[in-house]
Amino acid sequence: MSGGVRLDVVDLRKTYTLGPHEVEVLRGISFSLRAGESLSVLGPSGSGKSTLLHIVGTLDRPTSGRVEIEGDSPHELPEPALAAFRNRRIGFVFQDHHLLPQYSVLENVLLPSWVGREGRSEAALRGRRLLDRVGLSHRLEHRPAELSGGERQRAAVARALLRRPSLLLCDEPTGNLDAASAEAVVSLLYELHQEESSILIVVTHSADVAARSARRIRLVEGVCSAA
Amino acid sequence: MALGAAVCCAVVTGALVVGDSVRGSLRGLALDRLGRIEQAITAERFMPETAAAALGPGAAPVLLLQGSARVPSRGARASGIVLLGVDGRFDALYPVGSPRPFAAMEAAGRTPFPPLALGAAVAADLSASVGEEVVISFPRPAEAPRDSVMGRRGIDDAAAGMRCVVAAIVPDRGAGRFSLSPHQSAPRNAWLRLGDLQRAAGRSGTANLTLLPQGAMSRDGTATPPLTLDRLALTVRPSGSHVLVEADGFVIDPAMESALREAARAEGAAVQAVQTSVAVALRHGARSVPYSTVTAVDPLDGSVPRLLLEDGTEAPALRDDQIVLGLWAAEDLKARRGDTVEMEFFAVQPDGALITRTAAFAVAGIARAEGLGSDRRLTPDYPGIQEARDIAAWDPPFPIDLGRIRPRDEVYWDLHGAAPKAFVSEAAGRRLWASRYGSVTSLRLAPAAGSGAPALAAALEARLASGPAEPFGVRAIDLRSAALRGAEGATDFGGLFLALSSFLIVSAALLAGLLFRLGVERRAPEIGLLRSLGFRLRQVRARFLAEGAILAAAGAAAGVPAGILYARGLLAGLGTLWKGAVGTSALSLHARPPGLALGAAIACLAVLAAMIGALRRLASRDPASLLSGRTKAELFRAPSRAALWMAAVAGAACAVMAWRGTTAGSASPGLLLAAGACGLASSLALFAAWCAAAGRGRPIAPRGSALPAMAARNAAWNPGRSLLTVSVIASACFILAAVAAGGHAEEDGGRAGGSGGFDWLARSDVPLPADPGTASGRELLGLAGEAAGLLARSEVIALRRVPGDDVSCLNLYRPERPALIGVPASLIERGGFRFHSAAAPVDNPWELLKGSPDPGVIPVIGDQNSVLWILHLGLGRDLAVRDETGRDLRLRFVALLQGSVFQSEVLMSEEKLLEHFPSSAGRSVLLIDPPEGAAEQAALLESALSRTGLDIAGTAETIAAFRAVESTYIRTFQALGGLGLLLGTCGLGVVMARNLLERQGELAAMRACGFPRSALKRLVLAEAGVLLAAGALIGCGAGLAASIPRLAGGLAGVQWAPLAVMVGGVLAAGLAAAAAATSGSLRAPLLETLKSER
Repeated sequence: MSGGVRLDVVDLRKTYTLGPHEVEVLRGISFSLRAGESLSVLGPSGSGKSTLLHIVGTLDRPTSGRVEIEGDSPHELPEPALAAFRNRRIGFVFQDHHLLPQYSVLENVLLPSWVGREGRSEAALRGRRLLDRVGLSHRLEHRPAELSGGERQRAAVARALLRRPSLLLCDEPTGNLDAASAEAVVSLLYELHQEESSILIVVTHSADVAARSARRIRLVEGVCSAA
Repeated sequence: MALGAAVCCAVVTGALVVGDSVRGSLRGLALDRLGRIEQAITAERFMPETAAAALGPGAAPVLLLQGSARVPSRGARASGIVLLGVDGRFDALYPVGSPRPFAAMEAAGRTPFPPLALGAAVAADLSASVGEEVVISFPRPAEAPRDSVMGRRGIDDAAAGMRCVVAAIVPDRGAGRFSLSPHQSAPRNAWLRLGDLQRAAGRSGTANLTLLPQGAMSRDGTATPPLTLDRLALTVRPSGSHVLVEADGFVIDPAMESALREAARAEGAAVQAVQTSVAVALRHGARSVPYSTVTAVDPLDGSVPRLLLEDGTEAPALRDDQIVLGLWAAEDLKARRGDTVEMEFFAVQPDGALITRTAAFAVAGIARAEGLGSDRRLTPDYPGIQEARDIAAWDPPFPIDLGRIRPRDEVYWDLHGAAPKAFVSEAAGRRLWASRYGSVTSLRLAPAAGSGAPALAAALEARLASGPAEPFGVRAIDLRSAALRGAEGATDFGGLFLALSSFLIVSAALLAGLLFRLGVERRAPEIGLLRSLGFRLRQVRARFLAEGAILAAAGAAAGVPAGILYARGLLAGLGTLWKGAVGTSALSLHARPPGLALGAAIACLAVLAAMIGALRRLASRDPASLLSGRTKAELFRAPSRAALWMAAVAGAACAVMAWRGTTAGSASPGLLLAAGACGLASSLALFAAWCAAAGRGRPIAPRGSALPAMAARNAAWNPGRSLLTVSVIASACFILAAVAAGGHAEEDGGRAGGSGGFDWLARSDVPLPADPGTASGRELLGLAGEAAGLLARSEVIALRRVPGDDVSCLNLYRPERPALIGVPASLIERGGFRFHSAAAPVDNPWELLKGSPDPGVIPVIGDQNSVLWILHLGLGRDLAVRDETGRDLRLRFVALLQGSVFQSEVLMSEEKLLEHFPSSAGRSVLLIDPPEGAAEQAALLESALSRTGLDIAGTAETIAAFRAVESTYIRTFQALGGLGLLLGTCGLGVVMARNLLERQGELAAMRACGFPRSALKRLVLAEAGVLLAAGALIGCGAGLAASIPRLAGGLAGVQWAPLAVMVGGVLAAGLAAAAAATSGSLRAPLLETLKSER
């Protein structure tokens, strides 16, 4: 997962049709990142930050432009292959942790490994190690409702890293947390990013969080500028 | 939600309208068949036509006989026909526009044979057309009781025939539907002109039925018309100084005797009973006197003829073993006082055959040939004897050896006619000659001092005319009231369809409640806001309930017309697909406002109850969680102790009831169904406990596919909804499985089955005067050759039947006078047939007919289906009926048959039947077990006894006809249950859709983790599958388990195919609903769900 991993975003555009109006959310966004690099995306609400993140994470498709990860263009893949690609290469951390309430913390972390049948034993070991790493080894069998907000987000970080993704995408990961919890989660996130040598993109409103990334860009009305 | 209320209302209203429609239709049919007829007077003994007609203005005399018909040119036969001899007065009882059978016959003009009008049903059976010749057969009215010594018992004496020409086919309406017994199917009537049928029956100028129109009777409906002596078939006439009372049929039966004695006592008259019979021979040593009449009479103080002895003294009261010989006989026998004389006399065997017996008497004296000693009036005017010029010209009903008649006997006949040659005591007469018809041939009444015979006769006539008529076999039936009571129906179809639709109703109510709950859940923040603003819990609930009530009322309003349409559909089903349940297609829609209002009210209440249940838990959550939109706990809770207790208690109840239901010896379906219901409740409680515990179970394993485990965990996550869904599916499957397993096992034809081991059930319109199961009986019936041989090689049980209302499920009307069957000792001893239950633990429940459960109570047996569903009684319960003399009888069910051929009648011992219905002469039901390979020879017997209208049916087919009704109900139930399941499946779809809506974020996160859409679809389908499979397994398991004892006992068989189709359909529909909900949900854009900025 290290060395030659590269993300290229080239002239990315996204337009939504709202009734008779067309709204251009992204207007020619381009950047490249290599393994171990991190990028913070800043900008006001509605500027297209999350849209950019979801397109890069293959959860949404661009109207035009190109996203290449390790030379592959995932948006050209059919849905099943795209899902498998996302499962192997991309990890997500959302503002709302999106942990499944019916599963334990460990099960939530192992969720990405349940897509297929392979490697589930190894994944289980890694899941436990990651939870140990994020300080939740004592909470393995707990339900998300039994955790604090910070703990839930740390579990979400562990889940995002389970498959050793090339690309770790975080959408306001501290948006719902108090300052102390936010600090803990962000520190953990960047540490793990370094340890895993992944590409990290963080969408945030927080200047403090953004400051931790090597590179920062600001989106205003779909246009990218250096922050 | 309004839709749910509408469905609920439509189903309830529809069911009630069906009930109203069946009642309304039956009432319409009943009134149509009666026209303007209000009351009927029936007479066991025929009354003069003129006397009948004088009962009231517009009264119509009718001669009504059971019969059969055949078309000689084609051999077509029809049995079970009611032959009605009528005149224009019958036609006049029906309104203008109604068919007029008599007028139709009159209009036929001159025909080579008497005209006959055939009812449409009979004409269809015979394929007869106007102008065709038809031979009708019917029982020849007996001059003396058929089973008495003086009864004629040859087949030619029992049956009469007549060739007719079909003059008209009478449509099946109005007069065409006339019937004394209520039944929804078209009556099998045929009409003849009154005079023609009277002549053919040898009963000119008489009738046995008088129909009275409205207004002819007193309005209280209880009074019978004044009955003159001729209407009572009595002769009361002064005879010298006394009054002589005789009855048609030559015998005064005990009830009539009792009524006459009471009337005489009231007039201060002394009564002398006279019994005169025929002695085959009087013997003294080697000498004998053939064919003499002997009279049993006791001396009486009063103005009646005296029996004077040779010395001029009056004969003393005789002991039982004493005899007074007439002078003629004493001289003939050379017998003197103190000698022993033997009397050979006839006795009737149980099979109807005559035998002779002998009794010895000591001669107590020799009577002079004067006074009673030469009184010809002591002997009734027996046809074939009294009018004979000499003994050689006798045509008696008993066998006579004319070779034994001597010239001296002819001289006596010439001098004294049928005057008795000997006298015995009244007690001796009763001992020798008494039969169920009685033994008294006449009563002699001595007027009180100061009164004369003419005055006594007049007073007696007046007293009898105003007294009860039933002892004389005359009965007044308020036909109109009986018909309207009967039209209320043996089965409450409204209740039945409510019960059949119960699952549909519950499903609709639950669905409405579920939709309401989901709607309220979406508005949880609103509830939270109201609570946080200070609204009290009660106010919040009231606010939402008011909204729900408005919607429920709107739904109910829409449901009423839908209910009428639903009822129309059900009635169409009852007239076509489910016709087997009602046997008629003449049901029409009768929607009454009270029924519609009740349906709407029930639906509203059901939906409101479901809403209250839905609102109760939600509104009581804390405002903070409601404001945040959280409507349920986000933690698995430990299995509720209450659920576990409920599972344990219901499981124990299930086990106890199953054990009781099995060991009670009856495999009681009700108990077993209750056991199954408890099993269902226990299983559902366990499911609830599993839901609660699922999250505490083992983690999802790291090997194999995780999908099933994920599906199970997800299915258990929302226990309330999951339990509701599983409950709906399980309840439906339970009912369907129980119904599918509630069918009867195939009839095996064995002795312990519903047929009792008899392959044929024969019914004759003319009761057979002798038992065809015995050689002597076959001889009397004139059976010879192949037919006699076939019967000789068969096991035959002949049963007497008292006509009455059909008590089987084939009759929709409420039976008032059930048809009765007398079970002979031979069948009681033989045993057999399958019994549902018995009042006492005996090997052969038939034996219970012999006992007497309580004084004045007659033990009877009925088929469980008829007793339970039509008579609405059960084992040990009493049925009140009246015997033929009007006395009240209590019949107690001491055993219940199961799935037998006897579903139309109630069975009592033949002995008791004859005791209370003594005029029941002959046997009209035969159980026949033919020898191997004789199955095709039924026609042989039918042909040999064609004059009796014998109709042989296979017992298997007879039972199948009864079962067809049950099967139809099962099919109806399955169809309605299927609709309920469909609704339940819709509910499942709604729950799935709602669940998926709530789980958008979860599904989006899973997609973000790399789950392809197909995997998520499989996951959601698997979750639905878990609920469906759990519901189906729990329901079918409990339903089938409830039937295991009956299945193991061979009493039931599972209809696997419809069950599999129904349950398979549910699973498929449920999965389809889940798939549709999933597709919609997965098409939703992920971005909106996952976006951090909202």
